[in-house]
Amino acid sequence: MANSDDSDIQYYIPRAHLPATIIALRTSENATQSQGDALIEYEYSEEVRGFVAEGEVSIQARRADVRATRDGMVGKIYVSKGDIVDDGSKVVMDYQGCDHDSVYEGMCVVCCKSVEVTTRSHVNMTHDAMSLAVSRPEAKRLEQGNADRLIDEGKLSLIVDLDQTLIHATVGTAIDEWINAQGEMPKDIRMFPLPDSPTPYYIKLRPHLEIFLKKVTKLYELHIYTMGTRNYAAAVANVIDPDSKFFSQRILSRDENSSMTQKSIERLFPCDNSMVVVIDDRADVWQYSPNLVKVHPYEYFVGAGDINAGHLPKQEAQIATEAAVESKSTTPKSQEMETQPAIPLTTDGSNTASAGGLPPSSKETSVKDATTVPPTEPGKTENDKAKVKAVKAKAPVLDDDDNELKHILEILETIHEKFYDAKENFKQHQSRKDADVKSIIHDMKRHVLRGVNILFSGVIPLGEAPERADIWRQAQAFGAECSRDLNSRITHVVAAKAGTDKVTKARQRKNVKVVRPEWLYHSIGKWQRQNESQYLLPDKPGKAPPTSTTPPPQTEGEGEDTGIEDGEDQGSVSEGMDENHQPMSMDKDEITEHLKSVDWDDMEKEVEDFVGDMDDTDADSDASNTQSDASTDGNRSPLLGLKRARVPRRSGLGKSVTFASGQEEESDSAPSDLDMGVLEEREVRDEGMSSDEGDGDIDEESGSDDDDDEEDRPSKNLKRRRTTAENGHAAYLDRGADDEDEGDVDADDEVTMEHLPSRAKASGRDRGDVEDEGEVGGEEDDDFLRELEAQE
Amino acid sequence: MKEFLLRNLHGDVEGTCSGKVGFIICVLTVTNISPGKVLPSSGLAEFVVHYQAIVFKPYKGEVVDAIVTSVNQIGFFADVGPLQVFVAQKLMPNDFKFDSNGPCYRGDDQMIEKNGQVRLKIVGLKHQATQINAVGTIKEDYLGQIQ
Repeated sequence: MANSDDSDIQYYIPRAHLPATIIALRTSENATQSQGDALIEYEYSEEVRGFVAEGEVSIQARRADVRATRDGMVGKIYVSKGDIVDDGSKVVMDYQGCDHDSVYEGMCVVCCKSVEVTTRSHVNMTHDAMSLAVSRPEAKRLEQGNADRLIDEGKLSLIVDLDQTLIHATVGTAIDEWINAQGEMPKDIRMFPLPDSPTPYYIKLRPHLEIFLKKVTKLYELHIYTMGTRNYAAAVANVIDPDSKFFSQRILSRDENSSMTQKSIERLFPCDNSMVVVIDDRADVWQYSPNLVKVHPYEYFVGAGDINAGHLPKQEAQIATEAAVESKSTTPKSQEMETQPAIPLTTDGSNTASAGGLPPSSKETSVKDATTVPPTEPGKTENDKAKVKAVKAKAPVLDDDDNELKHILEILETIHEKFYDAKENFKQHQSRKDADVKSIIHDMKRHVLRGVNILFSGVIPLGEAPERADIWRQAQAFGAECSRDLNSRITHVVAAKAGTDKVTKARQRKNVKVVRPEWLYHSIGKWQRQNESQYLLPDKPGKAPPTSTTPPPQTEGEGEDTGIEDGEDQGSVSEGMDENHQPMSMDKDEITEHLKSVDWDDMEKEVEDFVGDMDDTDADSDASNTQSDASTDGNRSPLLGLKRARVPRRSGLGKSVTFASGQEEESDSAPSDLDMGVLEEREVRDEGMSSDEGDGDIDEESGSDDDDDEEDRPSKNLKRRRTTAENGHAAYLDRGADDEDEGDVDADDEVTMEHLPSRAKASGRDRGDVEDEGEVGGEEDDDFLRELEAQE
Repeated sequence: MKEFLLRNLHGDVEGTCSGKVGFIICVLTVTNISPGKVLPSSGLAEFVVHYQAIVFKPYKGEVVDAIVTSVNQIGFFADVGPLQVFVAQKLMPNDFKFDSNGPCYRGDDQMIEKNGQVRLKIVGLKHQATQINAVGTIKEDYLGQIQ
C-alpha cells in the first residue's frame, strides 16, 4: 500500500560519478534498511590533478555507496553486480521510505525496525491493543478517514460509560441471597460470572436501554469506555449487545486505559474530537470535557454505588453537594443509619420471607450482609460510605422509573441534528467554522439558564470556595451567572432552607425567586429550565427547631413534578412503601386493575372527614405538645412530631400501623413468625430511628402541601400523639413513625392489596401520587379514629 | 524425588516463552538431573535439570497459519498458537480496504475478520525476555485468507 508520495524514493548514481561500475549490492529486494545504510557499492573513476606530478592528470578509481536517505524498505533493484551505469537518469533502485507510522511492541509494523516510541511521537488509538502505537500524522489520517466515513453515514461518535450510565452492577453475597430469594431472576437483571470473582455479577439494565441503543445507533457510532476490566466490559457488552451490532469491538476498558482515574477522548480520538459526544455519569473523570453530556447516575442496587469506581477519586459531584445539604440533619446519626437495611436486599427479602417462607432470622442476616457490603468494596472510605448512605436516602430505590435514557436520547438527537445542520451550513454558506459538537453542546447548555443570575444559600458548604463547587460550575456551564452576594442582578436564590440571611433579604425583593436546589438540579439534569413555581422555597423555616431533624423541605414539589429526573423524588416517596413490596416483579396490568378497583371518590371523602375531625382539636395542641414530650422519650419527641406531620398525607400507612400494632399487642404472648419479624425489625430500627427520621422527613414531607397544610399537621399530630400516648400506645407510635415497620405490618395485615395501587402509582406515575396514597389509607384511618375516640 | 522434580519442571517451563528459545510447548525427556545442592541459609535445594522439549521458535520469513483475534483500522492481530502477530494494512494487498462494520478488511475476493483464518509470513520478530512479538505480511502470493 503506497504511503504518501514523498516516501517513494528512487535512487540514481550521481552524475559526477558516471560512468560507474556496480561493485556489489549490499542489500536485497524487500530488505529493511536504516537511514545511512549502504545499499549499492559502485566504483567510478575520478581525475586527480597533481597527485603524481604537477600538471599531470591521473585517473583514479574511487568507490562510493548509494546510501539510504531514510529508514525504509528496498523496493526493486534495477542493477546487478558488474553492471556499468552511464546514464544519470537511470534508476538503480526503488526505495520505500518508512515513517514508522504504526509501531507494535516497539517494532515498526511495516519495516520491522525497532522504533522507540514516545508519547509525543506516538499515540495509542485502538480500543483493545495497548501495544499498538500510531504516529500522530498517521493517527490524524486515520481519524480523518474515519470522520469522512461517519459523515457519509450521517453519524457521529458516541462514547458511552457502562456503570451507572447504561447499567447498574453489583456483586456480593447479599445480592446473591436476595436474588435467590426471588426465585426467578427479576426483569432486566442479568447475571454473569467473571473468572476473578467468586460470586457472579448482577447487572440491572437501565430502563429503556434497548430502545435507547437501537435508536442511538442510527445516529451515532457507539464506543464503550469503562473503568471496569476487559473481562467485565466484554461480559456486559455481551449482555446489552449480544449480537455485537451496537458496539462491535469498540470497547475500551480499564486495562487499555493508560490512567486509572481519568478517561480521555484523546485516547480514542487523538486529534479531532469535534464529532465525539460522551455520555457518562461522572464529569470529573472526563475533566469536565466540553464533549460530555452528563447523565444522572443510575442507582438500582442501593448502596452498591459504582463497583468500578473504587480507585477513582471521591466524587465531588452534585450528589455530594445535595447530600451535604441534607446531612446537616442526618450526619450525626449516620452511623445509626447503618442499621437501616440496604433496601432491595433486606426489605424485599423480608417480603419474600412472608411470602416465600424465609425464616425471620435470615432477615437479620441479610441486614448484616447488606450493611457490610460497602466496606468490602475496594477503596470505599468512610466518607464514601456516608456518601452512599446519603445517596441512599434519596436514590431511586428499586425505582424502575428512570427515564434518563429517554431524555439523553432526545439530547443526543438534538446534538446530531444541529451538527449536521451546521455541517450543511458550513458547506453551503462557507460559514467561518466547521461544525463541532463541543460548541453545539456548549450552546445548548448555555441556553438552558440564560439570563439567570443565581445566589446560593446553604447549598455550598461554607469551607469551600463557592466558585469551585460543582454546582456552581454546573450552573455556569448551563448559562447561569453565579454571585457570592445579593445584588441587583440576582434573579434566583437557590436555597437549601428558609430562614437564612440571604433568603430573608431576597424575599424582600420583588423579582427574585427563592427556589429549592432541586430546581437547579432538575433544570441541569433535563437541560431545560424548570418552572420555578413548582420549586419555590416555602416561606417558613421548618416547623421543628433548626437543630432537629427538620430538613429543608426539599422535595416538596414532587406532587407536581412531571419530569423524568424524578428518580430522587420518587425514590423517596416509594422508599417507605416500596421496600416492603416487590416492585420489580410488579405487573403493570395488575397495577392498573388495582387502580381501577379503588373507589377514589369515596376515599377522598373519608380523608376529608378525617382531616375535619382532627382540626377540631387544634386548640389544645400546644399544651399537649409539651405534655406528650415529657411523657415520651425526650430524644424522640421532636421526631415524633415530625413523623406525625406526615400523617395526613400518608395517613393510610401511618394509621394502619398503629392499628396493626394494637393487634400485635394482643398477640404478644404468642408471637407469630410475622410478629417476630416485625419485632426484630423494630429493634434494629430503634437505634436508627432518629436518623431515619431525618431522611424520612426530607422525603416524606415533600407533599404538595401549601401553608394551610403545614399549620394543620402538627396539631393533628399532636392530638394523635397525645391520645395514643394516653392509651398506652406510645411505643407503637414510635413504630408507627417508622416507614419500614409500617410497611411490614401492612404486609402482614393483608392490607397489602389495598396499598399496591398506591405504591404502584408512586413508582409508576409521575404525579398525583401523594394525595392518592392518603386516600387509599383513608378508610382505615377512619376506623382507627373511631376506635380511639371510643377509647377516650 | 525425581517425580517431584519432573512435576516441577513441567509446571515451571511448559507454556512459557523465552526470547532465546521461543515458546516451550512440551517437555519430552529429561536428559540429566544434577545432584541437589542445598542453598546456603535456606533449606531449599537446587537441581540443574537438562531436558529436551518441543519449542516453537518463529523465524523471520516463516509462513504460518493463524487465527485473527482482532481487527482495527491499522491492521489486524492474529494468533499463531502462543505467538501474536500483527499485520499492518500496508502489508496487505493493495485492494484490501478497512470496513468498520464488522470490523474487517475486504479485498477483491478475500475478507479478513475476527476468528477468520489467515496464512501469513512473518517479516519481523522482536524477542524480549519473556515474550516474542511478530509482524507479518499477507502481501505476497498465496498468503491471506484461508478459505
